[in-house]
Amino acid sequence: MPKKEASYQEINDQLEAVLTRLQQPDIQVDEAVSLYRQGLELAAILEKYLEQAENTIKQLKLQAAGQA
Amino acid sequence: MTTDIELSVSEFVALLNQTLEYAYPGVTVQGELTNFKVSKNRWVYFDLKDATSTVRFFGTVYQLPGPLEDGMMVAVRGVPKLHQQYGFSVTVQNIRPVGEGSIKKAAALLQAKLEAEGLFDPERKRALPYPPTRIGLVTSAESAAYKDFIKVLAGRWGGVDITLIDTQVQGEAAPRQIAAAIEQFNQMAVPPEVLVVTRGGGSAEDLAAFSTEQVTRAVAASRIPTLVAIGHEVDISLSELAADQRASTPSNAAELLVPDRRAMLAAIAHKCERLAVGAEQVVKDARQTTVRASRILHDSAGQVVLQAQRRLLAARQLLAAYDPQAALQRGYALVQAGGHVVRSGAGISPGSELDITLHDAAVTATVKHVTMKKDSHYA
Repeated sequence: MPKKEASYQEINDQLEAVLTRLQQPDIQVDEAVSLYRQGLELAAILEKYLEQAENTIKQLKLQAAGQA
Repeated sequence: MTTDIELSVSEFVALLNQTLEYAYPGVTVQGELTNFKVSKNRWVYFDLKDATSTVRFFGTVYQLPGPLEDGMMVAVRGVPKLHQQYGFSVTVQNIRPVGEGSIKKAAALLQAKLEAEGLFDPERKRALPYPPTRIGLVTSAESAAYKDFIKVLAGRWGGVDITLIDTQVQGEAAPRQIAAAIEQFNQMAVPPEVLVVTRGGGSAEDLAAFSTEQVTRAVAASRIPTLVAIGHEVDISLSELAADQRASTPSNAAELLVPDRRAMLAAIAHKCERLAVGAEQVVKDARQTTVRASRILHDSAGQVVLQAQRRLLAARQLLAAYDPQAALQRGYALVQAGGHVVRSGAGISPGSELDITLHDAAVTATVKHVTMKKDSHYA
């Protein structure tokens, strides 16, 4: 899985912003089409993340203070 | 045969201590706490007793698991010692309440103390990041709690970096280890976004570590937001009360920390629909605007043509009015001489030849006589 640049939450926020902008009354067709395309791309990234991202587990040693 | 050895008092004390140290390098005694006293906020004196015997103990407040009081059952680990002046006592290394009643009592005393300090205040609670990308986990790597937490988390969500510090979750070393692990996470250069302290269910005694002052204070002091999940049926551990959020089980902790990816996928699908509807609406609105505009354009173009047509018609009518042919039709005639229109009789004399144009013929005539009008301008 490629290293993601923005977190899931950030991308999700971007998608929300696209949706909000798309629903403004002053929106022009050019921008609407571009937002639509952008929104679909963001959704695809989110879907890919949800379907492919795996958790990583690392174990650290307890430092001296806590050793029995 | 034994030979009596005569010893000084100090020699006897030293010899006895040597013997005790050899025989009991450490001993754990369980009994009912009595004559419990704290002196100068530092020294602790008490006795342990059962039906027939009483033994004295001596220690410091740092070895207490929390507030204690007479009547509680405790297990005390310590070193038996004959003091040079004060006689026999056990020097305390560790005290822990035993039996459900005493554990509960100790917890209640500690709870009252920590509550008074404000460790459980609701206004201290911080929101956990949702979903977090880095989780610090404090539990036993061998436990079912650990496996459950990891499994449920992976089932619901991905892309989380989990760092585990493996600690004992019960027994004497547990409180120290758990507190140290919490502190260790807090000292990291890049600390996790949330700390999860968890273990599965067990007896009150198994879970005692999570109600110790040490663990509870460590949870309360954590700069990283905390989620403490101790599996149990009835009582809530003190560290859960001090945590920013608590969960009932390790699985429940995972459920609270991250959303379910299936629900998220459905939400994304819904957003895609909203995107399509939004974009379609914009296009539809734009199309309507265009249709309206072209209708206006068409209508005004029609008006322009109509006006032009009207003007053309008027021009035609005007033109027609001036058409000489029309005058010829009405009976007028055009008289020319030598290619020029004859407007006056002044230049004409009998015998001149005139070309007369009628509406349907051209006639050549010869002038016989010219009579000028008296009031003619041309005279």
